Amino acid sequence: MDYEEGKGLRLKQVCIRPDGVEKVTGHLKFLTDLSFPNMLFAKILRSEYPHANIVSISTEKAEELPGVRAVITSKDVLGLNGFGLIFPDQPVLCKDKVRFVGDAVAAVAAETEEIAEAALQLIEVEYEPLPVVDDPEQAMLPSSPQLHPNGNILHQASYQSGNVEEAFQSCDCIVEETYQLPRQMHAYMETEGGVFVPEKDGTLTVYAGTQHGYKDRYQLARILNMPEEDIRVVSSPLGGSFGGKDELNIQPYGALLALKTGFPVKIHQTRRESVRSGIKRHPMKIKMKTGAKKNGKIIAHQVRIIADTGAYATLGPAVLDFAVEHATGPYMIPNIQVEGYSVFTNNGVAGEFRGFGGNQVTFALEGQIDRLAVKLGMSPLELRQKNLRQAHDPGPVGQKIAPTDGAQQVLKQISQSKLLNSCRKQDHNGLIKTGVGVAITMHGGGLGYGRLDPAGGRISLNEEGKIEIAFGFEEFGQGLLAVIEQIAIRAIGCSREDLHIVIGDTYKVPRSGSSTASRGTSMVWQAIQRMKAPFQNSLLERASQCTDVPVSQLKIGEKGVWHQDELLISYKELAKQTIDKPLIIETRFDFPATPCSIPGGHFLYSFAACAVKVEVDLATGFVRVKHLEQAVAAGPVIFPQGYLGQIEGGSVMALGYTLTEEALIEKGTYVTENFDTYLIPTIKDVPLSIDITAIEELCEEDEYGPRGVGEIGTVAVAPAIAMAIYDATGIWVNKLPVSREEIVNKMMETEMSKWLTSK
Amino acid sequence: MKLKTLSSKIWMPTDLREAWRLRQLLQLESHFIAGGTLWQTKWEKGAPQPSHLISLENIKILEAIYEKEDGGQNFLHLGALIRLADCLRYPIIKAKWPLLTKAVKTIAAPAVRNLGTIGGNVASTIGDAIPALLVMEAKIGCFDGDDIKKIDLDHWLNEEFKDDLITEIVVPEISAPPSYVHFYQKIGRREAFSGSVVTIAGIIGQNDNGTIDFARLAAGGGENRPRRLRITEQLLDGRKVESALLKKVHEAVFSEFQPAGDAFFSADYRRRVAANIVIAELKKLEEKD
Repeated sequence: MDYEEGKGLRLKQVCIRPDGVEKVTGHLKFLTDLSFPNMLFAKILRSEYPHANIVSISTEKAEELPGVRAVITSKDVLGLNGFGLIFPDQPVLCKDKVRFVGDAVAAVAAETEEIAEAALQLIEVEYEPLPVVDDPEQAMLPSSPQLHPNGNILHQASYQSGNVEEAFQSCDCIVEETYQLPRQMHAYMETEGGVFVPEKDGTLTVYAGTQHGYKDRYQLARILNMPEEDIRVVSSPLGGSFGGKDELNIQPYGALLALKTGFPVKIHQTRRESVRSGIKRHPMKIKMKTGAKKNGKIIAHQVRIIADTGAYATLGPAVLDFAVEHATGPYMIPNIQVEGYSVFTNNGVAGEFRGFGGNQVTFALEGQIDRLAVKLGMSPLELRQKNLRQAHDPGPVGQKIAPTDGAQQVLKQISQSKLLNSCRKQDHNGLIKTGVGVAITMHGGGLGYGRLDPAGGRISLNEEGKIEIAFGFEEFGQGLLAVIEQIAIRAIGCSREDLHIVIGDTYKVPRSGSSTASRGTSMVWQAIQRMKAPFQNSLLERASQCTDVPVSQLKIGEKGVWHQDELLISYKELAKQTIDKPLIIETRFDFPATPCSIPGGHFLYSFAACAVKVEVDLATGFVRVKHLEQAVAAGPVIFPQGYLGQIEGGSVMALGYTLTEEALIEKGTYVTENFDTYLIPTIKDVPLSIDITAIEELCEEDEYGPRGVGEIGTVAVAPAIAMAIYDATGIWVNKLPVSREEIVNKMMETEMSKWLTSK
Repeated sequence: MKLKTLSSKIWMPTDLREAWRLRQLLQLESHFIAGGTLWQTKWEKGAPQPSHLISLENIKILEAIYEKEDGGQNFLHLGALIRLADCLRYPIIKAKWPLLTKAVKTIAAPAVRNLGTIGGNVASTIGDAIPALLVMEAKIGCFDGDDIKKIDLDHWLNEEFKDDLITEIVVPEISAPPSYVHFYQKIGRREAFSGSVVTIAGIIGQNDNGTIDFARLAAGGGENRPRRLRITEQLLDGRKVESALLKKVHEAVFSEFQPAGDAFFSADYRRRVAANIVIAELKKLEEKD
């Protein structure tokens, strides 16, 4: 990897993350690797149809199969038969209706996985198939079958400013286009699973990955009709999530079966089961009409978003709010009208996914800017610059936000990219064309206005003499432990060996909210800033009391408290001498949201600009991304490799989204059932050169520190690739994944005669 | 981690006759298996496992690999059990049968090539090695219970599927002058480790005055059984690369190659791509002129 002098140098620093060695050597045990004595294995029976009434369910034959210990149906749900992060509209076990092919109808616990599987075949379910609602636009019509009591529109969101209709009248140039975005799968390495252990004291321990242990506990308590305190959720580490495991998945079935049988129960979904039942990124159809004056000033922007949210709500409403909020991105446009609909269909379930609606709407928005630039005869960078927000401008929905110059910073940085001015090479046949493209984005962090978004943490000196730092966040590969370690070492002044980090266990950690919405790094930093002075003061006072050296002469350092360059008292000794009076500092606060009353409106934003160079093979339509650069403005870098990993990994995930990935559904049933047809990028599809620049400077009055970078790297890649394809071929891509077939067909129309001419 | 076990009974014959006898005995309830990589993908998709699997892995004769002259021509004999990865390991194959090397490199991923065999790739009737083997006019050895019979691969593929036990692949060495173009292209859904959308191979040669005097083309991909494009070959024979020919060849490939489409790529896309690649190669030939 190349770094130019003076930029991005910090990204070269190397330190080993706390969980690094165990992970790369394969020694780390994930929760799905756990085993307990007398453990049973569970399997879940999913619906045969995308939409049907259940006439009857008979479990007798399955129950009689030797080795089967329990079969559960909706009758066995002890409490609320429903789950969902916003409202619980998804049945744990369907009673009379199924709305997608992943709907659970029954579940079995047996002595082996094979017996459980065989028992599923013996459960007799009689269905009455219903018409499949597979097109969100059709679903919005009153004539469509209604999937839920309140109709097929899950959520509606809008934003308006000025008067677009009038403004379009005075535009010199208008671009109108409809963009279609695919259903992407998270494709985490570890599929959903865990072990559920009924304890002797009547409590239940849940070992299952999630992004928010406390939220799982809350949802499970409702389902099991148990006090929350009687459920312990152990939830880290996970083999990836990307938003896909924030919602409950297999936990209700494992928990119900464990309580019913009295034995530990393990569930671990196969990839096919995961594809069928798991949530996906929202497919969206986005229509945009954008108008500008001759000088490039954009004055009107009209947007209509239709999101296919599938069968149940989960975070569908919030994803739509996010898309509506980000529909104008970092551009200051006086007349805006955005309306969005999140619509129920029988197409799986769409929910949380890295980027959270921003990826879809940014693809459309940046596509509009590029089309306008071409129509106006202006450079795409210049057009962006002309309309870009300044540091103290309001946010995209007119709301007050923390001052930020990120948009200007990333655009300036990417404008200097060498690849934008690199020479265009053509092969001798003229069949391979090269093009470059740029896109930028801004992305809100945290859950936003009007949503409970608590954070917090705890620092203590534990009995073993370790400085124990506890958070309710989860480690799913993003490098949370390294972030906590780095922030803590710098803030407190101890060494990494002095620390003991505790996460992922509701019996041990404070509430910090969900590990989602790029909030982890930000919340860890803010929590530690709040706790460091009280902790340090208290630690030094205790050291002073134990040693009779005045606090003013003491310093916190490696292994303990130091006096005049000598270790005066170790943390271990200090803990021993103050064991009756444990030192514990806790903090609770909320993720900052805009004070303006806009549902989900954000306050803290990060920014990214992406430049790519592609080669398009005209004979096959194959698009190869040869080089990719990103400039990211998200505040100070905490853990350099983690930062790089997030942006590089995010770029690759977005490359897949752009070129190959689509969880294809036909008539409510998945066509892509596994990784042989759902294709994520391999190392051969990834450009050998990915250059990342971190812009660390924040505005002077910005006191919020580093932002998380879990999502920002995924957003600007697709529109940059689309622009590069246009640059290479003159073909505008308005649908992802990019259709090679369309490229070949269009090129045949325009280049055929030249092509079929001999020299 | 708990490993899933096969429900099939596994037979491990040590010679061809025993393998053949088992197959006759167990009939439809059995299958031959070598590397098992293709079967694994089918089972993963929910295909039932047969009651009996007759593994060919212990039949030593199927591991032979050698060169042999016959009637003035040099042949590569590849035992059916030769692993795909091993095909890439012999410098002699790379030097004398470069199309085969090129083809095998595009099959699946390294871990799969360590298990998968050349015989299995051919026996599948849709393997990515087949188009390359077809343009080299390879033969296969088939054991019929008594003898090993040599059959043209092209002929065998055109037959209805027979219950054959493939013993070896025999590939003639084509000593082509430098004025020939050899090509093999697999267009997958991504750069590597992907099923084929279109696979096309060819050898086209021209004499000193630029007249095409050698043309073999074969195309396949996806679930489509690869086949020679003989009408296009005939069209090329005796002609010079010129605009009129390019247009006709493009049309010929498009009409002669009749693959089925799927949810990801239509039949027409596959036909266009095949035609485009042939044109691109003809242009290369023109460059050599």
